[in-house]
Amino acid sequence: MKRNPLSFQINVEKFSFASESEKKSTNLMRPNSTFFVDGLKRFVKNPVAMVSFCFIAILLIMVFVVPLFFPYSYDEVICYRYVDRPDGAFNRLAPFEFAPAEIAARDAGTFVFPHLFGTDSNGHDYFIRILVGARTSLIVGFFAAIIVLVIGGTIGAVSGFIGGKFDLLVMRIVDVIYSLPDILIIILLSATLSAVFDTNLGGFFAQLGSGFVAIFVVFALLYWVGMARLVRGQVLNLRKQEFVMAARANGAGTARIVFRHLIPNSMSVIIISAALQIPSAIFTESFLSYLGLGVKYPTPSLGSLASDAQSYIVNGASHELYLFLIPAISICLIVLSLNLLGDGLRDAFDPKLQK
Amino acid sequence: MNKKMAGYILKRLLLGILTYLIVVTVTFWVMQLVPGGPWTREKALSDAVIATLNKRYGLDQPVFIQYLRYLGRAMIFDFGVSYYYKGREVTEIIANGFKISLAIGGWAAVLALIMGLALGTYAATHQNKVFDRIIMVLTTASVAMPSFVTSLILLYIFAVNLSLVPTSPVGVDGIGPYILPVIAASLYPTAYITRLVRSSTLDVLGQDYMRTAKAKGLAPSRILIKHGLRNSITPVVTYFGPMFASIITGSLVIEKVFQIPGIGRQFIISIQNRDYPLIMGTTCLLALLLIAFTLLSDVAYILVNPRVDFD
Repeated sequence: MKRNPLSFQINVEKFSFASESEKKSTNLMRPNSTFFVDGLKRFVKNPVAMVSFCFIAILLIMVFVVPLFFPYSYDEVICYRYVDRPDGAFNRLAPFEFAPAEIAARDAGTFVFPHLFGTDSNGHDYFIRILVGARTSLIVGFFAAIIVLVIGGTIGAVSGFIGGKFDLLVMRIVDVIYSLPDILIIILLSATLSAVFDTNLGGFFAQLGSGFVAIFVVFALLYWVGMARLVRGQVLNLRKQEFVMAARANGAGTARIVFRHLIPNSMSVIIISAALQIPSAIFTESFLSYLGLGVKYPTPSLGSLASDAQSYIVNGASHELYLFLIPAISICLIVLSLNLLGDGLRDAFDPKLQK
Repeated sequence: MNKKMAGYILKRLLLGILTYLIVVTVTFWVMQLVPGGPWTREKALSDAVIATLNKRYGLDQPVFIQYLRYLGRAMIFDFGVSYYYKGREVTEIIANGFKISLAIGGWAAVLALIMGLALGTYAATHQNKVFDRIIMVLTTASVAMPSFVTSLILLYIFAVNLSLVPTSPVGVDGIGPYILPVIAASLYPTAYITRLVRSSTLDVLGQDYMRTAKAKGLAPSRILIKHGLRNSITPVVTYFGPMFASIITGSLVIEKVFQIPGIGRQFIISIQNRDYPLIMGTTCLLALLLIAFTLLSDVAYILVNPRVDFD
């Protein structure tokens, strides 16, 4: 076949079939891996993060499942031994000790579940109070993180998207809230809010406890700013990326770009930072409960349990030291393992952000 | 100092004043939310007495007028007399509490700075050795401990059990009662500074100018102090101001544990007593401290690190 020497047409005669060995080069050595699977692999290889993960998983099961079929409830009075002496020390049972009524029941042949940690000075079973207290702390942490994620995420994303004067205004507000003395405002708000809620709210809020609501309000008002900054930064950064431009050039609409490109790409960073809010919220809750501004009796939280037991420390009563140490160590372990878990998740799923 | 830097400082100063105004305003309106007034006592006062008291303290005026008057007084730090401690000036009560908090906070900050710099530099120069590992584990753990837990444990071990320090309250036995609160208040900042210094020193140690200094034949200690420390200290400078202010404002817990009549304890008590002038005075002072120290710290940062970007 005669060809024009200047033609760009491919000369088929110059091609030959690929040999078997050449064909092999296109074989997949291993199955395709996604970002999520890669991250999961990195996460599983991190022993510290895995230990924390197992601890949190066991804790969650204990805290949410055990109270369902535990024979005692957290506000049930087990024992008033001396009616004429309403003194804490006399109402308290030591671990595995039984109340007089329970001893009678045991003698009659019924099985009485032992009080693993004894009872506290109000005669409540301490083991279940610790579990419910840990549950309270975890719920506070989780919902605070959700509140921060929703409020901060929405404001940050909208601000980054719209840009212009709105963005400028939001960022100035963020600056101001950032420089507010947070501890002061938290104490002021939680003290006044619990007074307001105690008198004005009934039903659901009264059941939840005013201290609880106050903590959430404080988080909703003050702590969204960090998340808003992070999400805004992510949105601004991703909008400039080539793949977004490519998607736009392919005719993708705003909704598709947001849900298909922006959210999946910024999700890991945002979720990890929200997860790291949980331990900080638990910390704040225990701090407020210790000062008597957190959850209200009879709802226990780890902070209020430790606070109630602190008199044993000051009096140097070594027999009752466990009443303080159990909730105190629980707070430390929960916060520590959540911190380590968050760090592990960040290292695994956010390789760009090396510490 | 060039024009850009002056502009930056001016901007920060304005932001600081704005923040102060907001704190003052928020405090006022939050206090208005509280049900019951400052005269709600266990023994109810008669209406005539309450009316006289309201008139005397200007509480019979419309709320907005009260707000403006209060705003004006907040600018010159005149908060009048306490509603609860009869006839005592708020500024005087605050000054008494603040003296104690300042002593504890100041020494805790100094201790944290010295310990943090020493431990952090040592850990960085002996990276991955046993000591470094111990430091990393301890600092990670201490960040997870609420300060009331560490304070109470310190109190139990050293004051109650070993009787190394007196359990008597501050102001009775000389410096003895100050020791534990100062240590307790310094634990968290020490851990934080140690981590900061360790990571920034590791960063600096890998720089080219450190190799150059070594090649010139300078002694290792001189390299570390003259070239290393000067650069690794910059993040500490930014942290130190807010830290110092937050040790003083955040000493509420430590003051409760050790029964210290400091400003944090006063703040909680004044909220419980609904002592408006005292609450306002304490909030204003603490907010001002926090804002001023953050500002100073940021200014110090640009003086230490001239390469800073003004955005």
